[in-house]
Amino acid sequence: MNGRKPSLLAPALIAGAAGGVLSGIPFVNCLCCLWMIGAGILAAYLMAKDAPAPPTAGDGALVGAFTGVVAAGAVSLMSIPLAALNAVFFRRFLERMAEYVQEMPAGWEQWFTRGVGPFSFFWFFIGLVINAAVFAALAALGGIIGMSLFARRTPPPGAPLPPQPGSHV
Amino acid sequence: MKTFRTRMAWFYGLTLAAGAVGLAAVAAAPLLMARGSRAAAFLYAVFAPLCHQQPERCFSLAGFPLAVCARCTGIYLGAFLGLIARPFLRPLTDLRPPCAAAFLAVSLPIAVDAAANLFGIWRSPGALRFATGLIWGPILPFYFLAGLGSLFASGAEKK
Repeated sequence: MNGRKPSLLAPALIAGAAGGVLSGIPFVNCLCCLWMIGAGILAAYLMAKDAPAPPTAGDGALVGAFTGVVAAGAVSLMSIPLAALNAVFFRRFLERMAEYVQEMPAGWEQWFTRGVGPFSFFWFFIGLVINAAVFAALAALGGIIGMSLFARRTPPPGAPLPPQPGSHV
Repeated sequence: MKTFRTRMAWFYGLTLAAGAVGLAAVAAAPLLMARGSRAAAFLYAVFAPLCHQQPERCFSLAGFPLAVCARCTGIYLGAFLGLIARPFLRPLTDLRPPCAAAFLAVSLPIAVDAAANLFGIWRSPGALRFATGLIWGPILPFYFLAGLGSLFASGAEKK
């Protein structure tokens, strides 16, 4: 066994970009957290497909977490050009809530004006950190699920065998 | 050196605490909104990337919608209940993930209902959306703990 670990980078970048784009587009994001779990499953599939040795659940968690971080970056980057559109959607959300509930708190119209102002690096960074933490947890879950579904129980033909207990590596 | 069992107990406790905080945040958003607190805006914004938050698809508390939709509420609550049940059903040191058949069985209702709603075949009431999430959620912590254990605790001394 040459001890090569399966590559995390390419699956995380591909699945993270796909999951981030789908989570960031208004209307398409109606499947909620399932996009992130799906991105983790996709990353696990891509990783298991080309892995030199059967990956573990821990490998799935790791590639899923990286996928979530990449997706958070993609969502945050997309939020810059889509900021005006998101502000419109957020205001519409509040207006629909105002129609739905009996009485809105006084001054609620001013609560969300920050989102329509000039770009704020501070709020961009806060959003990125929160998204990265939540997306990483969800995509890690997807990665573990994906690994349990797609990881081979045995190495592919021609692959080096894993070390046996007590053997010297 | 911490034993494998101790590490898994720590991971379990932290996951349980995080789950409780997440569920509390979902319920706190409408309660804070009803009190006129701006913190409600922050909580709704935190969950915005994770859920569409359409008010007509959310359960209400204190006259305001929860921070996530009925289906997500079911998933989160189901996952939390599954997390509570996890050590009673299987030792924490048992890192085997559920079998694929079990995952597919609990995923079928939510997949069918979500796809049908997405493509406009039918429009489910909130209770049905909640139920499909509640069926799917409990299996999730079994995977999550298996992955955490495999990633962080497998190098520890197994006792």
